[in-house]
Amino acid sequence: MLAVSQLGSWLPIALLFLVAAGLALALASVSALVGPRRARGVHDESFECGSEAIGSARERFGVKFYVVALLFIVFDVEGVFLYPWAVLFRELAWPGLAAMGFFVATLAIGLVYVWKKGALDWEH
Amino acid sequence: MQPLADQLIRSWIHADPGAWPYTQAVYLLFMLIAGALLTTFTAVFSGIVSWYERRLAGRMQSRIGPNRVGPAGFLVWVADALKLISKEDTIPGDSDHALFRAGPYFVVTGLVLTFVALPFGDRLIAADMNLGLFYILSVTALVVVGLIMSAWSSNSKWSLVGGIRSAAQVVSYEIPAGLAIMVPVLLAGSLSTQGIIRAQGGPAGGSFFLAGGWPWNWFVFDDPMAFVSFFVFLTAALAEGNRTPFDLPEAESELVSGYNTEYSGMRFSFFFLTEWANLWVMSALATLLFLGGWQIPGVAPEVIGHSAALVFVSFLVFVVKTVALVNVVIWLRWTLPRIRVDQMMVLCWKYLVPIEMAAVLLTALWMLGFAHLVPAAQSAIHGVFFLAAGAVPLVLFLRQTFANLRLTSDRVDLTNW
Amino acid sequence: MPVSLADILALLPEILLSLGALLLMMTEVFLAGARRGYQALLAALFTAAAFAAFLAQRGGGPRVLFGGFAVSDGFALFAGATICAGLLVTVVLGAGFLAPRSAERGEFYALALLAAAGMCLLVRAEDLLFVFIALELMSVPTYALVAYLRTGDRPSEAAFKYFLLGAFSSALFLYGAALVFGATGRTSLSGIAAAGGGKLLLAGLALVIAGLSFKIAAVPFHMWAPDVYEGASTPVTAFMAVGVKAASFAVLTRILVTAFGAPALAAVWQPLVVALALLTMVFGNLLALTQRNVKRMLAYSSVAHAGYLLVAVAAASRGFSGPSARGEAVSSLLFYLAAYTLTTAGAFGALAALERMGPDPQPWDLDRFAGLAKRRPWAAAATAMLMLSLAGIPPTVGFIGKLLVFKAAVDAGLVPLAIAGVLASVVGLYYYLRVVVVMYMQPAPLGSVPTPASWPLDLVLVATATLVLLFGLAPAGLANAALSSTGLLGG
Repeated sequence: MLAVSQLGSWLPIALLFLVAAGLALALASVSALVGPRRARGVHDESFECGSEAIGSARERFGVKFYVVALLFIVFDVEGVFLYPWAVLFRELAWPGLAAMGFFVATLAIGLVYVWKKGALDWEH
Repeated sequence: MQPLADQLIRSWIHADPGAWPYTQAVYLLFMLIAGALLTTFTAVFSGIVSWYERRLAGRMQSRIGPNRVGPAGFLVWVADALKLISKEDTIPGDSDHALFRAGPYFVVTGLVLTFVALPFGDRLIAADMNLGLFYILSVTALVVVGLIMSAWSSNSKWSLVGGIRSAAQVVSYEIPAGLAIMVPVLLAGSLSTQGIIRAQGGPAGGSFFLAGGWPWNWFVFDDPMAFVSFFVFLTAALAEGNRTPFDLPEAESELVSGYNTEYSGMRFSFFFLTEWANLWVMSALATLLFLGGWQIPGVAPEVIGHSAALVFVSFLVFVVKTVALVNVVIWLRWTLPRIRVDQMMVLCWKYLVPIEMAAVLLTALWMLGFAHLVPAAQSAIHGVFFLAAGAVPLVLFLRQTFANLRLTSDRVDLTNW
Repeated sequence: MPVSLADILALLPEILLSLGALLLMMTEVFLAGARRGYQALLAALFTAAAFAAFLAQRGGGPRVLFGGFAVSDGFALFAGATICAGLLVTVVLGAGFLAPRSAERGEFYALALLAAAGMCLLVRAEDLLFVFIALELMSVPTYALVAYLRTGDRPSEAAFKYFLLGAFSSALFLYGAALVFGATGRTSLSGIAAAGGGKLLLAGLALVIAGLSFKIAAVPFHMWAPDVYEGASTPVTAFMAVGVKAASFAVLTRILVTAFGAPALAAVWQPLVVALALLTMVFGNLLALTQRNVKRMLAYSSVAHAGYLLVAVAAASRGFSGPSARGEAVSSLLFYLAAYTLTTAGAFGALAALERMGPDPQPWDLDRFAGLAKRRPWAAAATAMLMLSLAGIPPTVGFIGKLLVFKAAVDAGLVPLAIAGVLASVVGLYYYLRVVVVMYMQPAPLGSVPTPASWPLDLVLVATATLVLLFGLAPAGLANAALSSTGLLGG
């Protein structure tokens, strides 16, 4: 039999997940039971400050957001690399600093590049 | 969690936890209780903060705020909750119904799950993972997923714009926040939340003024880079929580209500539950990373676990620090105007990210530079830096405040609740 | 994992290429107002330095780097030098092609240098994880390069196609690598060879071969090649046809020979590779036959050449041939790669020199070559030399390459495959020689505007044609270099 203690910290996470999702579900269900239900029609249309909605909202939106997503991926991966390095830094000492310094410098050059290219300016 | 359970089994049932047959069941029960406690805490805390914030806003804007339900309007959050439960759960006809229903659950569970790794005091933590901080950063990503789900599935232009703005903002500020967290991680050499707090307990075997949670042992006063990182972290955490001055995703004046425009009733309240509970999460994180966590001044961290009273004191210390920070965040909200979206991006990418990249490397350099010093010299450096960065500015701030009070012939009034 | 300074120095070529890429990116943002001619020079300098670094490292024995992630052996050095040579031609091509179209940017060179750094890492990878990282470092800049000159919708289509199929092939490779890891518990190539494994390992092997077959454009994984090669701007096409193919072949050979070199395993993958080679040679040549569009023709020709190279890979299966025959096969592969790199890069140079400027549905029609002998006899002679080498006619280096490969196949007991290869090259004669015929025997069509001559492109043409002839007449030096470079570490 698998002992609870062997599952370490994963069981609390799983249990808290169940409890939190369960509570949210329960609250929403109570609300569904107690709350009123109105006729359909105008009531169900999406909110456009009183005017009638024109077309769907699933349209193309600014490419700027994609640029932000790309930048995020690059620098978040940097962060992921930094975590183990930061934890073990005392053992890595100077060679570790040199290696990470080179890595961060490379990324800094990338940041300078996108900066100068105007990818960080929201308004062109 | 388990040490606590072991301790209770020993002292109440006088059984050996290793041999006693029901140990595993007790563990499970403990975890369930902890889960229920944490979830309840999240809900109740955000409720009370909703009242507290409105009262505070009232004071800051020279009005009264909610004062009808209960003493000083305290029960208004209960009334709000009851009202929201009894409201209709509207689902727009054109929306993607499944995603529309599911989005708020992601938001709520993503936030509540962070509490697993958030400590409340020595030993008071659901699970002290060795990857605690990493775990917290990972599960908070669920919140973004939930926001985008809700925003997109609503099929409303306000929601969509709010949602993608929110996504862009949250992911952008995740970079400086992650890098700022790296500074305490470097200093502590650990990703565990409790480990980072323990590392702020001063040198081992130090005297009364060197041991425990004195401000000069806090990471924020460890070195200039950590001092800067603390403020960067606070800024980034504000932005990640969509708090004013970074509340562009739900900017009322332009986007109605952003990603939650189409929501009503209970599902709508989930977003606000998350927003207020997030105040605790970000303040607790800042406390544990930079402000010494639950460390009691003058008490070495190894001693606390032996006495229930000291554990309780550590709990109080942590809560006081966190609530103080929550106060600061609320105070910021009612002081600062909302910034523009381009300012928001520029602040993140052109200031915070480069500053933090440099700060992480400089911290490493600082550590290597002072690694050979004896502990006494290191403590002396911390003391000097604490005076320079903490005590002197605080004194100057208080002097200016009292000077202002004198000039306007106002007075400090804490009675008007 | 202990990292010594010597390990880092062994990666000097890759470091030079990466530094060059970073520097070029910075010139683009800080010196963008000035004339950009110096960027090509800078890129060429860094490439030449990397090439020299590869040559300088020859002679030292094979060494394991970074605790077994990479190696520095003769095979890697030869393939790396070949890749750098291809990159050098690409850079000069880029200078000559982009400047008249006022599209010269530092990013072009920076991306090419970065991709080349990935290729050089790929050929020395000794661990499946390292292979994957290098593969991505090679592929991602190449995806961007394909979309570099995006006038019209063809480049966008090409880039998107290449990206999707490239990502798909990377996924195939990664899944295969995961299965191999599952079967053996190792990711290092020598570790996999030592561990052996069952059916799971075979499934992983098949997926790894399929994933890399996309990169080398072997039939039936070649569908993307003509469209992508046609859509990309011509210097990029040359770079893809030369660099990506050489690096992918090198890593395919290293994986097959080092990790799956055991006789039992080689008996499984040899028929697979033979089938791939046969299909690729036959269909590559047949599909090239009908093309009037020279760029597409060259694309199919590069597919066909992948077939000849696969013959060498098949011959390198140790299970049937023994170490000396394997050395012969690997050296023939290296020689063919070098010959192919020179010739194909030059052929795309000829295409770039004649490509019609401005919007045109058919900028690479065969007509562009008509009357070239009258107009620019030297360019025509050089182009003819390159076409002869592609066809494999003496006295060119292409002939020697085919000779070595087919000889290795015969020595490895793959006589039918060698015969099929010779027959396929005979089919190839038709479409290569057609270009020569058009150049020398047809007058330029009325009203056609010749593309103005550009000295970097002429330089590429003359230099590659001279080298093709030189190595064709005196192949001993290159062949000996290839023969002494077959020491695959752990193989």
